[in-house]
Amino acid sequence: MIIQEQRQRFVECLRSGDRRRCFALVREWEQQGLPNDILSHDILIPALVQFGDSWEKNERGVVEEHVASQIVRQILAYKAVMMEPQSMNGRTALVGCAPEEQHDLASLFLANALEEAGWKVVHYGTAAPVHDVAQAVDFYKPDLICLTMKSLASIDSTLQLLEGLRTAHPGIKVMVGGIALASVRSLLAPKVDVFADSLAHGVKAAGELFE
Amino acid sequence: MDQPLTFSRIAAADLEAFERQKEKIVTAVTEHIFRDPELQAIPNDREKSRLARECVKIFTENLGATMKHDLPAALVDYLDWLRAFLRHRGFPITFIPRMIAGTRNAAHAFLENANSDEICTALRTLRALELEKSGDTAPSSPRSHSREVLA
Repeated sequence: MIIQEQRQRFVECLRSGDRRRCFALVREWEQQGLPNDILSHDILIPALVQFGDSWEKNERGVVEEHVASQIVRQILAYKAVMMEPQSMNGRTALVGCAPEEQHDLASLFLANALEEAGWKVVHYGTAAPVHDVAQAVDFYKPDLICLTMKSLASIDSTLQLLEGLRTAHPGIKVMVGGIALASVRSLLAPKVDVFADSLAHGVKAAGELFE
Repeated sequence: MDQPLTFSRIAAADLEAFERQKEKIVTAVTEHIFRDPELQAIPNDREKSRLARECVKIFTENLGATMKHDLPAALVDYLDWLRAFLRHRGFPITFIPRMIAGTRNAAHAFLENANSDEICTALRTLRALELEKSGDTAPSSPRSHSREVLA
């Protein structure tokens, strides 16, 4: 079955809110050897984008969009439990949302993908106060911090966090994903090592930071 | 539009004053919208009312953040998204220009010990840009202008 057909089947199951069928599809594809990166990049993420676009156009309600997000969230949790990384690279990544950012699905995708690539991942998910993220950096001592952000309102607290990190931990690398606006990237750029343009790019760029 | 949108002339003390008064501004702008005779479809519809409150709150948050860091293009990008979002929900095209005008008036009213002139100038430019994009380029009549002034 070609990937477009798989995606279409998955979207139809998501649309009907049928968790069991969605989970069954994922397990069926897993048994057929579908790699996790293809599942994420070519099926799950495009399906979520499709649902998000439909919500924006008022073709779907908030609950339908949340149902789809929850199903994907549970699939990612299942994948995280079942994952057996082939070899660890000895590095730790702290992954989560920028302060005041509530959209954490992208960070879940990234946590799984980095783990599969051999990183030890500490994933805290949705927004945490600047002070607490800074404390977590002291505690977990990551080599890389990955922040996902979408909303403009989180710019100020994100800058505050990044300035504190650069001062207290100049050796820690920082990756930011989710925001593509050139002006926002320019503002953050002095305090960021790399901006992730996509999930695949983020995983690749994280590795390249330590080559 | 006569001049490009910029926030670079707004003084830090005036931005701090805006931040301190944000909650009052959100309340005043929401009331301004709900009283507007041309926007009566909003207060008469529970879902539209909820969305309008959310829009004003998020717009004010985004305005504060983008003014502070001089990111006019980011705010314009957000309004481009919001315009499409609201169009799909049957909001009048005048909603965003009225929201901006209400914000300008509220900033003028509540920034008592600060200078709101540059913030109001930026919001006037933003409103003109929004009117161009929404296709409503007719100048405000004295009567419609008076509706934009907060009581």
